[in-house]
Amino acid sequence: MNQLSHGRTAGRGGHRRLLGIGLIAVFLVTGCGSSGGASPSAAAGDKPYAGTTLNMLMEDLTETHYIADLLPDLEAKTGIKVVFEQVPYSNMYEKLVPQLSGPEGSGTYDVVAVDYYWPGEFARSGWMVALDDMIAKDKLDLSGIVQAFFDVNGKVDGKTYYIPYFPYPMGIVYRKDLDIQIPATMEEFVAYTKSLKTADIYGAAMQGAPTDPIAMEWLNFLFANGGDLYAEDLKTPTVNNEIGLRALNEYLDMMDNAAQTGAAGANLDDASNTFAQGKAATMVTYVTIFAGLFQDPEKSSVVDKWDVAPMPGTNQGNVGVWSFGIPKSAKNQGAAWEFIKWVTAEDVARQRALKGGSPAYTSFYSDPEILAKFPYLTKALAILENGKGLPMITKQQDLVSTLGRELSEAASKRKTPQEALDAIAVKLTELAAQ
Amino acid sequence: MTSTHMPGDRRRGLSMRWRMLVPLFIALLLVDGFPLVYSAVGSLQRFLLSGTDLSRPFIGLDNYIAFATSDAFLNAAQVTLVLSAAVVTLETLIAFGLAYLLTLPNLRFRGIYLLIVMVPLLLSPVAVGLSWRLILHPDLGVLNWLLGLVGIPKMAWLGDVNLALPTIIAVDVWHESSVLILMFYAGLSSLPQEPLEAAKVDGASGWQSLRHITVPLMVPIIVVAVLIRLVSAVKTYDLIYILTRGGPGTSTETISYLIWRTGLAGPLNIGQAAAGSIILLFVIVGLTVLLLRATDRLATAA
Repeated sequence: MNQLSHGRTAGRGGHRRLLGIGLIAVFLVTGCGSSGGASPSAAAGDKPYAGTTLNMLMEDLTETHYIADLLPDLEAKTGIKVVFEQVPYSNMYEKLVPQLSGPEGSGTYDVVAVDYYWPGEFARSGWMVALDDMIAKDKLDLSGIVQAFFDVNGKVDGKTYYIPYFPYPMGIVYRKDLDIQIPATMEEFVAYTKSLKTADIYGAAMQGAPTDPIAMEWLNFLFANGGDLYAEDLKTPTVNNEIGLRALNEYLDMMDNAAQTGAAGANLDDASNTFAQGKAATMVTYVTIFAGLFQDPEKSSVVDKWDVAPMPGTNQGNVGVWSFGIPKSAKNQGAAWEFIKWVTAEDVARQRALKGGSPAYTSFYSDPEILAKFPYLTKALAILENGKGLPMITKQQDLVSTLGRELSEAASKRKTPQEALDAIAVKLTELAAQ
Repeated sequence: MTSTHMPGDRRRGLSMRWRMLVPLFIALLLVDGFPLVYSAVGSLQRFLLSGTDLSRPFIGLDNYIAFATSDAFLNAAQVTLVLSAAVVTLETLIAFGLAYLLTLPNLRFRGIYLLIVMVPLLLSPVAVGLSWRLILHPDLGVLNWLLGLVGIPKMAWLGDVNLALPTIIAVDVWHESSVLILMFYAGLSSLPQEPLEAAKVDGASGWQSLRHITVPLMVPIIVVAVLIRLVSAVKTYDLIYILTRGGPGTSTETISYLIWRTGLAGPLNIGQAAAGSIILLFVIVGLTVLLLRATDRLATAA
């Protein structure tokens, strides 16, 4: 809540006071763009985009700060200035959509940081520029990046729209100083966290707030139990079968009997704070983003006292990936591509990793210099490779909001677990057709 | 203009007045009229912001029917009703009480009290929401800490389905009572003193004067204040957005929040969101007409 530098938050502000009638926002944003970019100067030779300013909307979290620190390097190399508008996660989608759905060249943002539940919707709505030609023309070598990331948030319908730069695999963060042994199955894990709860410490810090915190957290329970949202055909929902029900019952049991007070209203910041203050033994969360918080003695009482583990059961967790893409509404597409090439290149990515970032290159997970600083990354590669993203349907954001809302209905006992899952299944069927 | 009051001059003056208003009408038309018409048209279309098929055929009243018959709307309408009724009632009572105390003769430090009760009015709802989110935090918030000092266990103010709506109501009362206090304070200060003095001479107690003189005299102001507050309460959005995002579940989801979420937070269904907005508009216009009639009746009765 306070100045945490990471966050997939559900209720944090800094955002505009949005009018209740959402429509008005759509009308007002048109014409607000001011990219201030100069046209590329022909005389600049190897710096054709010198003097161009790129505007980008970024989530206010450590990975963004690491990139911001390195921007002078881009400016020295290309003369391109980059302005980051940093907002909490929960405000990004609602700020991006009105921009992206506007006419070509009309938008404020030149490069878009795309979370893993937007790629299908953004590309299939015709908002994004396919990058394949530019990749071929510049002979860009992307083979060092974990290839599975392109399936989650890179390629849509065979074309490359996004370049992954920041994966956030989910697993378990736990207190290694408390002699915690993560059991083999989810059922045992839930029972274990319940047994860990005492007057001084919660068995788990949980993030059960609607809409995306609870959705992201619960998907790990589903995947670790061997369940999934859809059958292989991406049409038939399986979320409400007996595996889904078991996963939800386990989740609710853990929330009611192992987690901190108010877990059903807690977002990532709340839960991370609880863990950082030493008040929770475990946390199902993003395992590679916490170097900046848990290792910071000013904000954390668990420095060097934590480690990461894969989910029990199938070892499959939910894996998110952030990627960069160029919207058709961008004013400076050429310079935007220069930025993407720069930021996703191996040397710049390695500098981010050395600061504590979450690396997208396979080799970094065995890089001695990086591992010496961030030993937990040794386990993170396996968590990444075993993990699973969201199904590549068009309306992924709608899927996540629905999941979040219905799971929260179950968590607050307004619906039974089966009713909530059935409502999700109905929506999944509807979304599969869109 | 000369000082001769010829009928022609007068007519010219009138038309001049109208012409002076033209820029205002144009501005109103652009700012209010265009979005309103655009929403109304959009509400009759299949209007999705994203997807593979972005065509916008007219589909009659389908959006209205889909919105108004959804479980989500029925739930949101109920939440909005409870929230509005609770905040308007509580705020009116509290604000009237405080304003009455503030206008008591011989009150010392009146300026300081006024300043204190006005502070919430100066804060934006987002700032209020964020501050309260910190105060209400189950583990790190000051409220649970204070309650803990007297042995009350930690409460999940925003995470517990039974507490979330009452908590929002309490925060709203804290924030919005100031406006009503200001209106009542102004009203009470400008009441004629003669009836009160006459009552005092006749030996009426303070309570009797309040009950039989002050309150009846204040009714027109109370009605207007309640109307204004009710209209804004029905539109409550910002506090929900900051404090609970409609949760837990949808237990604090108001109609405005539902409209926003339908239009910009998931389905991107602008058509249905527009239909919802028009429905809400009619509700508010209906409320306004009702209460304006009530004031008229009161005025004629007086």
